[in-house]
Amino acid sequence: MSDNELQREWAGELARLARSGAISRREVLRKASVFGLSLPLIGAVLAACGSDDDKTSGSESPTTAGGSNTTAATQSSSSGSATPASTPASTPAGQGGTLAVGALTPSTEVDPVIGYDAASIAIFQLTHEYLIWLNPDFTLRPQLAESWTPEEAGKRWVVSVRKGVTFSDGTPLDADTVKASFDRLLDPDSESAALSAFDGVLEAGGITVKDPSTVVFDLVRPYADFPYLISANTYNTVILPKDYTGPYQDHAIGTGPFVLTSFSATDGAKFSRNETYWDTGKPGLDGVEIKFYKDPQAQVLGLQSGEVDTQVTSIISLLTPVANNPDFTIDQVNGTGVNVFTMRVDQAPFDKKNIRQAVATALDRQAINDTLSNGAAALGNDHLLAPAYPASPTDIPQREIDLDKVKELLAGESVSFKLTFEPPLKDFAVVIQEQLKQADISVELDQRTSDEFYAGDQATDTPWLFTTANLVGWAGRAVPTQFIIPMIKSDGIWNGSKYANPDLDAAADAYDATTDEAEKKKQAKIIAEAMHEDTPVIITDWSASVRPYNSKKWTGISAHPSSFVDFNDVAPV
Amino acid sequence: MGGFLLTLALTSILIFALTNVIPGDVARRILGREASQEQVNAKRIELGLDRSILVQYRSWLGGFLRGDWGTSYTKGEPVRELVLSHLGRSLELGLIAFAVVVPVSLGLGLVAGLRNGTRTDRVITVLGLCGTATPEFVSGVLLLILFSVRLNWLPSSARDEYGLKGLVLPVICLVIVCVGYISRMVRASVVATLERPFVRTARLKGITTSALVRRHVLRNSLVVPVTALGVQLRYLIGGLITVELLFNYAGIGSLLLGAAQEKDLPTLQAATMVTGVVIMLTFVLTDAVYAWLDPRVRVGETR
Amino acid sequence: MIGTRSAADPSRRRVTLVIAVTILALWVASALFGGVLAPFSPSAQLPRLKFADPSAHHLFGTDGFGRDVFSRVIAGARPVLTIAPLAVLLATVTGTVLGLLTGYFGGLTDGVAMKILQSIAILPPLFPAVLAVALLGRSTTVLVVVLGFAFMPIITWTVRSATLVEREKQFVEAARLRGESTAYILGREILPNIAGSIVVESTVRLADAVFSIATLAFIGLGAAPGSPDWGAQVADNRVNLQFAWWTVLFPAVAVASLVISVSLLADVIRERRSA
Repeated sequence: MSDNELQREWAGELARLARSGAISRREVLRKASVFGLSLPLIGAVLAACGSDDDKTSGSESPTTAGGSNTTAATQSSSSGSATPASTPASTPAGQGGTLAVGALTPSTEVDPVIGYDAASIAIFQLTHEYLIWLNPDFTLRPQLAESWTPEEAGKRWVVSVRKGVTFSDGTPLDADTVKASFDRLLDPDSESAALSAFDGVLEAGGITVKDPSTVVFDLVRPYADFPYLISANTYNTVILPKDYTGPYQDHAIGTGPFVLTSFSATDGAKFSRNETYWDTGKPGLDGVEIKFYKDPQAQVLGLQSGEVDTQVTSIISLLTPVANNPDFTIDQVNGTGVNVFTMRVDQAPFDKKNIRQAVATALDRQAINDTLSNGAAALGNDHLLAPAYPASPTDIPQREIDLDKVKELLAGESVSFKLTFEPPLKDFAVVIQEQLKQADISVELDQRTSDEFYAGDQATDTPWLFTTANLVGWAGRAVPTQFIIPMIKSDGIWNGSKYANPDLDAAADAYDATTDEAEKKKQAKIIAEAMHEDTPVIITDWSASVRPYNSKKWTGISAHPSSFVDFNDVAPV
Repeated sequence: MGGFLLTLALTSILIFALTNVIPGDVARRILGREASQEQVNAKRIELGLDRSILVQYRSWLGGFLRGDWGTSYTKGEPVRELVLSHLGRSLELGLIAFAVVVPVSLGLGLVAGLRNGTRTDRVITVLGLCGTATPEFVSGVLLLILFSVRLNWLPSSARDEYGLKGLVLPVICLVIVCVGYISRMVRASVVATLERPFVRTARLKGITTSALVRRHVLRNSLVVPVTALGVQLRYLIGGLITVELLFNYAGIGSLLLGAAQEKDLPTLQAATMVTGVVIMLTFVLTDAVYAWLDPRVRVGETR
Repeated sequence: MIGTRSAADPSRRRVTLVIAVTILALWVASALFGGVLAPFSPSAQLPRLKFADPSAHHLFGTDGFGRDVFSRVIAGARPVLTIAPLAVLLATVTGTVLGLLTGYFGGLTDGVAMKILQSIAILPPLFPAVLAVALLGRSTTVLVVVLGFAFMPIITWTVRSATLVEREKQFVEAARLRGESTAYILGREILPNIAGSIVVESTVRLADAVFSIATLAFIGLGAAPGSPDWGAQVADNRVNLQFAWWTVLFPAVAVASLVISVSLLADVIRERRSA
């Protein structure tokens, strides 16, 4: 499929920006994958770039796994024909081995439509697939969609469905099935959180079928980053059979590389290779076994004792014993996951900017990084433009601990407050309390159960959005406005700080509306500077995602910023 | 028995009241924090949580007594299968532990009592004391690291697929506490028996030590572990929660803990009721065993 | 082969007593004067010094946050030795009152009370504690009330049995004839005579309480975040046992030693009374 007028226009923009050095080669590839450019066109753009150092952007993952993802992106981020993403040496049947994976017991039912915890998502990502996959470096890779083309300045997207794909029960994949999957999510009665992800962009009725392998998405507003929304970035958008009703464990019919063979809500799930998988030659594995553990320590112990070979999610500070073990490798990738320290700008003591800045300046971010992430995280500068995003400004001075400045900002005022959080952020809270103690700011820890933390009414009293100071953990998003719009715009649905800055609102809207990289950078800078100055939230670091695995037994396992699993390239050593 | 059922009923009401009064929203938990308030409200209605507490309780009670224990809020599986399968695993673990505790504590207590005052006795007594004082989580962690991580002899979690191999460490863990306590009691009983006049008379008559042991000492001390176990059973069952958590064993203890933390009301209620009934049964059972042993002991005493 | 010396031998008993009291005194001192005795603040973090081996500077080494384990172990005595005695006190007071009343008056109230208490008594103390804390949240009040409530039946039973015996004695009859009030009879005549067995039982419960509190902290239910509870320290450092054994071993030994010392104390008191 060739590129349309709009795509060629955008490609030209990219080339121009790349030539002037405004964006790196990596960023070009990324944007190209989002725009759905064809392989030849990407080649042309890259040629126009000249040689450029790949490693300039922050989203490079330092290990070989990340490197291989880059090459895959170059080959497949385009609208090529039905060639598979890469052609590894296929492992003969029976010799692929079974990979044992540790996961934390899901606290809710595993369900592709409403599931939101990492273990549930990992499970249905083995049996089902998306239109587009999200690579660890945030480039997009065609999965069930072969190509995608924007029209009308990005208000309409035409997606070409991959041909020759069947579900594990033989039903062929067609455009109607894709439409049904999205209709299910966009139904106002739907229970899926994906509904809020599409809010303001796509509504029920906006999807039409042009022919058995073409789906058309008509958006509410032009949105250049729309492909991210129909990719794995919105994890509930797996393509399900037309008549899917659930429950998952009884109806796990998908197009994915594995087939569910057994499931127990307390023990785990077993999978075997899908022999009719469309990507011939893959997966190499004979099967996968996911084992549930009740808590993170037990999970690490399972890894150490050899019961499992890798994990779905990992906590960096618990991996010290594994790091010292030569049998294990810990793959790491920078992410956009973050733990946000929110302060209510409309309540004492945080209704004064100098107090907020004082608290921010009293924190030793490097120490936080060392203690909680073994130094692996990227430092945050109190704004939502993570270093991993191409449009993020790099010239705002990094806020660092400065106790003299704190005294100056406090101007003799004595500050004390209650910090509310749920158990997973306990360690972070403890470190903050201790550090602020050094600056004579006293913090009372208010730990709530997760249930309590998120209960109540989202519009009036739920603790995570209404307490004076709280800590909330966020999984990574591929696009910064997916954080900014809900969290920091004055009408944002998840705006816990109650920050209202019309200039920032305008900049956020402008960011989304434009496809011009330079313009995006300009708007991002406005947002970042406003947040850094007004400090409605404190962001000390951006999480690194790690995935440890037994490298003596396996290759092809990599970390993912959203803890997604992709075992298609896993093979025994 | 009647009093116990009353307590069970009261407990079920208490749990119901608590989970409804305490902040925490099952519907929100199922749908996640990013679902909209409308979606959550709709879910609450779907789960029947918008009805008054009395109506909900009555509905639950009716179903429960009929055998319909509902569906788990968080796991989506029928509660009855869930609770009974978990109970089965705990019973298996408990029975194996029991089967190990009786002979081991009897043996150790006998040896310590017979060798009263010697170093063997002191060693056994001290070890026993340490055993009772060592919480299951301490011994469990040490055993885990030694046998599972370091030596790789045993799995680090007790899953169904590992069978008995997975149960070795949890059983040892549970047993340590009980054996410590009961062996000390057996020892005390043995020592007390040996100081009785009829024993001295028997020795004077020339009866050998082994015959003495077989005919008198054994019978007297047999009663002790069983009755003491009745008391220790509470600790054994209580220890189940820790051990099941530590070794990832899907028993009733960990189901209870999980259901309480997740506010999974149907599972919590059913698991509490079932646990209560089982505990009551063990109590009745130990009472019966004691009564059965009692007349025989008395007969032995008059000799 | 059959010795005649029993463990109740006075010299043995004295040694045991000394050991028990010493250990207990050390922990009580830690609970009371922890702030002074500990070389570092239990929450002070030195991220550059993560997992430092035990040394002269850090007697018990440091943990994953760079906190001094020795200071944390000392600091961990206070929460345990606050909650456990309070819970036992609650159990003792309520149990004694209930036991005296039911033992003295007998009859229907006695029967009903005993039935109910019996059903509570056979519950392992951990179960109601786990449920209560999971549902009501972790706070000193909840822990004290729930554990006190769990231990009360046994104390009631002990007091009741002793009261039943005392009630038949002559001095009680004499007091009644004198026209003394029930409260007087219970409080001044009967109670002093049974005080000994109450003390023994309470001490045993104290060991029980310490055990339960540590276990609750381990499960994650008993301790406040960052609090140096021994159980929580073991739970948090489970994975580090192989290469940083000091982060687990010292808090574990702390729990065990406290339980042992209290149990030994109970043993000694019991033997002294029966001698």
